[in-house]
Amino acid sequence: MVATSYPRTTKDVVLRGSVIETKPGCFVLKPVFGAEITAFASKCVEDKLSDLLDGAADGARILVKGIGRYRRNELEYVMKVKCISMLHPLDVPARLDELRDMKDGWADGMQHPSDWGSGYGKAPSHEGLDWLSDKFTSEYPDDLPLPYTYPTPEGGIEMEWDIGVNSVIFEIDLAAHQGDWLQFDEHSDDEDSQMLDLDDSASWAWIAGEIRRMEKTAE
Amino acid sequence: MNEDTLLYRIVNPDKLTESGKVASRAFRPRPQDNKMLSVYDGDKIAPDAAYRHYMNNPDMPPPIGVLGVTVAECSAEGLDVLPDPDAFPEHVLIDFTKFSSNQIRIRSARLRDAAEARDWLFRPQDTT
Repeated sequence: MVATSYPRTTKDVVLRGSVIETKPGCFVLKPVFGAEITAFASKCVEDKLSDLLDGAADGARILVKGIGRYRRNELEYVMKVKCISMLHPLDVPARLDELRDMKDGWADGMQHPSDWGSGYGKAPSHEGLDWLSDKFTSEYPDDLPLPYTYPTPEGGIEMEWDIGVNSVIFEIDLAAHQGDWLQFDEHSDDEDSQMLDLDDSASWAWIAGEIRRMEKTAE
Repeated sequence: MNEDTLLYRIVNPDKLTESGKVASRAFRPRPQDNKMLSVYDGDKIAPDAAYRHYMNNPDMPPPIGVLGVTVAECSAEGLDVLPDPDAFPEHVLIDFTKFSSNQIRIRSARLRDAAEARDWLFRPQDTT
């Protein structure tokens, strides 16, 4: 019998999750979505991890960047952690990862009782979540307030910001790569709405400008 | 029902909350439901009983709890409240029909804010 060997490869990896165990020279990360991964870390990284977790809430999430070891395109372990940092509780890519285990029918019960049990609610596609995660990471400035992020029964994503008296509901179609922006304030029924092409960086620049303007108004 | 009557909304499922904040979607009706939002009449049923009534439907995802708005809070948003006992005796509809899609989204957010200010009326862990 001939043993089959599969080539191992290495490439950069970014993971988001919670540390569930620390050992000398490594720690075990439970990603927000996916199986536990062992990450090998230098003493310097270990010390930083200890500082980060000291006083952090249970289940606090960290961002891990490093070099991953892959076998058959599956991540086996992180052979070298390059850097770690604490994640904001509203970190959007981590939240999108939370939504990857959703199944069709998830929203059943939100509708009229005559329709209960019909399997209402489409799960967001992994392809769409990948796209939005990449777009948000690359296009939304780090210094701006993060939105709350929710799934929609249509299989999309809705982001909500509350900044001072201003609110935004931003509904994203993951298939069409479009966003339906609705801005309003707590004192009136006036509304400002825009349909945005989210493959266009100019749309994200416009979003950042609006959020920044609201943030300044709230100061 | 009167102006102070609480209307219970079952919040379902857990993915509609993040860091304790409930999505405005939880208070938004579907076009397929003729822009009518289903709630329970608080004069006829208690929050924990409403939760148990909902949980009698085993095929549906378990909700995370019960929030409530008053009839007065609906009226302040121009929303009528209509009994709909054909579904079940305690069933009530909040009527969004006179509003556009954007205005429905705005009102759903305001109802959510009013309900969150009141806090959860029942959560399953309340019984443990």
